[in-house]
Amino acid sequence: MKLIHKATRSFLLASLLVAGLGGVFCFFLLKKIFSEEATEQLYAQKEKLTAHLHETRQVPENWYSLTDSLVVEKVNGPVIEVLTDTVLANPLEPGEMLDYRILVFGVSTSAGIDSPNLVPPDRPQYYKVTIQNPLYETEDLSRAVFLIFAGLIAALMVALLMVNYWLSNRLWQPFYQTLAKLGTFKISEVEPLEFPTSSTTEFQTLQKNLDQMTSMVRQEYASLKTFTENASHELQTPLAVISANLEQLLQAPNLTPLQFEQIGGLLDTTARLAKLNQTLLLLTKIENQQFATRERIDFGQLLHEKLMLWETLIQYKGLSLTHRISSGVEILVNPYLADVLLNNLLTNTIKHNLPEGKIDIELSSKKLAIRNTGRPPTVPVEQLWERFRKDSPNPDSLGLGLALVAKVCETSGFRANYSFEGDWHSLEVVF
Amino acid sequence: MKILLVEDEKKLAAAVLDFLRSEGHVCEWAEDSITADEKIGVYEYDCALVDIMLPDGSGLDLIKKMKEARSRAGIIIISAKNSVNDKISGLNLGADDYLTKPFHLSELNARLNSVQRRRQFDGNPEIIFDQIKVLPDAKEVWVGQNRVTLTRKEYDLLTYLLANPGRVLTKGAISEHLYGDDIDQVDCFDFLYSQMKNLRKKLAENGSPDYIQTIYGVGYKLTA
Repeated sequence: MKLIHKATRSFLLASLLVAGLGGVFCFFLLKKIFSEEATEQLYAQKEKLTAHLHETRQVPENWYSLTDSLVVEKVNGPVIEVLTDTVLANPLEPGEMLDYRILVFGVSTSAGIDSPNLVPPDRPQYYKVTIQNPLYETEDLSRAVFLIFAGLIAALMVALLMVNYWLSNRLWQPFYQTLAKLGTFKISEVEPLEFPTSSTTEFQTLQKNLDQMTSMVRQEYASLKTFTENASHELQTPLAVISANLEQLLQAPNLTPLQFEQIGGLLDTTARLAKLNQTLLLLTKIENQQFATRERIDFGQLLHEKLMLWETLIQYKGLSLTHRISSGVEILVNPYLADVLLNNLLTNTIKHNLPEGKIDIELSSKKLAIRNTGRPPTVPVEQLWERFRKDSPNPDSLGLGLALVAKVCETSGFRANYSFEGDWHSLEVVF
Repeated sequence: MKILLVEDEKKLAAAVLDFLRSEGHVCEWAEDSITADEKIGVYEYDCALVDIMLPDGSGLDLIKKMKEARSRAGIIIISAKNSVNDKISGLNLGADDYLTKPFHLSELNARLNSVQRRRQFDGNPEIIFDQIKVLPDAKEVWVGQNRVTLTRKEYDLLTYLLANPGRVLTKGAISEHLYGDDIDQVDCFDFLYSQMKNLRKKLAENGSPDYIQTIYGVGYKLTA
């Protein structure tokens, strides 16, 4: 979810909550105000009527006809004042009920001077007055409040969306451009990332830090690469010195058979050391993405070439080879890595086979499956991919073959599967 | 052959010079590219062995200069950097071959011989060892008047031996020459033994004396 959407969502939720609470509060406040107002009006009418009666000593005729909300009737004694709410039918819309507030009180023609000895006209005439006023309807009120607040929220939303659109277009633009630029970062390239200029301090800090970080990462990477190359140089040269001198030593006259064997053993060990160093360096180089360039390779043709190279060894070992190689299988891969992959896979099947064993190779556009007979693995299958993990009694085996295969597959975007079933080791490379 | 060795590692240079001189070559040694440059300007060489990483520059620049000066010398790069890019740019500059350190001296010998053969356009492209005659262009092997039919690997094996007469060749050096360094050599040793047996048998069947001497536990030696 985009940052701007998240912010908008939170803001909208907050305004909905505030508007809802405010609406409820407003509703009750208004209701209270209206209710008090209604009571006040009733009492104001009472005051007017009482004052009029005291002054004129008679009930005004026209009051009856004005509205049926005011009823005055003659009674024989004082009336107790009562304020009640009731529900009555709406005279204008039949069937609809309305809330009314009713004030019932008594008035007399004398201003409260009353005695049983007095006779009319001196004896005051008592009246019972009933005033009823419709209350504002709760339904109408809540509708009004709801409408007002809904309108407010709608207006807020429109404003918010407009502000956000503007923000993401203008304010956040440098941020998004920086993000896009960062996506194009490649560790192996040299030219610095050119971030868009921004006047926002936070973005400037971000860009400055990113600049520092990427250049530091690149420096580290470059020095690691140099180290790899130098380590190779530093180790290979002494190895070359040892091996050249041993070979010269081997040519010395009058060497005893034991001396021959000792020097020969040293030469073999040196060769092993050199091979180990080269393989570890190759693994590091692959990890460092130094074989990133890819070409379309005719895998079938390459496989045929490799088989021709190992053909005599396969025959010598008495292995029988079957293969189904589809023609025209082109794979996008680094040519050197393709070579490494096939060599390792093929020599593995030759090395770890049974006497009179079998090799079966199948290449299709989807995968390369190489199967060979052999002893069951003695280490857990998933550990076979690790470096120096070997399932071979041969002390001269380096245990790096499958690690190389795994690394090549990983960098080339292939998937390597290994399984053992029956007497068959099966290694699949899924393109 | 007159050979210039450009190599900054003194001990390696000493061993290589010792070897080349024992093979009867005339050798000079340059420790850095300035010395090498001077020597190239003054003398004519048949072949130059050039290390790529030199203290005062890249061996590749030296190769470029040699080619610009239209030097007729063959060039073999010796590098510790087993880098594909270096190999390609070296060969593109006109180097004849590329050897990665550490290398077997007998392998260097074989490469030198093939460079020499390629340089001698007017010379006789035959390899003759006592009764054995090899025609490299046609890949034919003769013992006297008999033509010996060899497999490709047997032929490679024979020419490797012929390039290093009188030298003890280890099984490791031979199998690396035949198969590259892609397989653990130990796996090839038995195989090498059987191929050597076949080669000896075929040569003997065609009336050749047994020139191949087995050095037990180490390797083989071609002696007349």
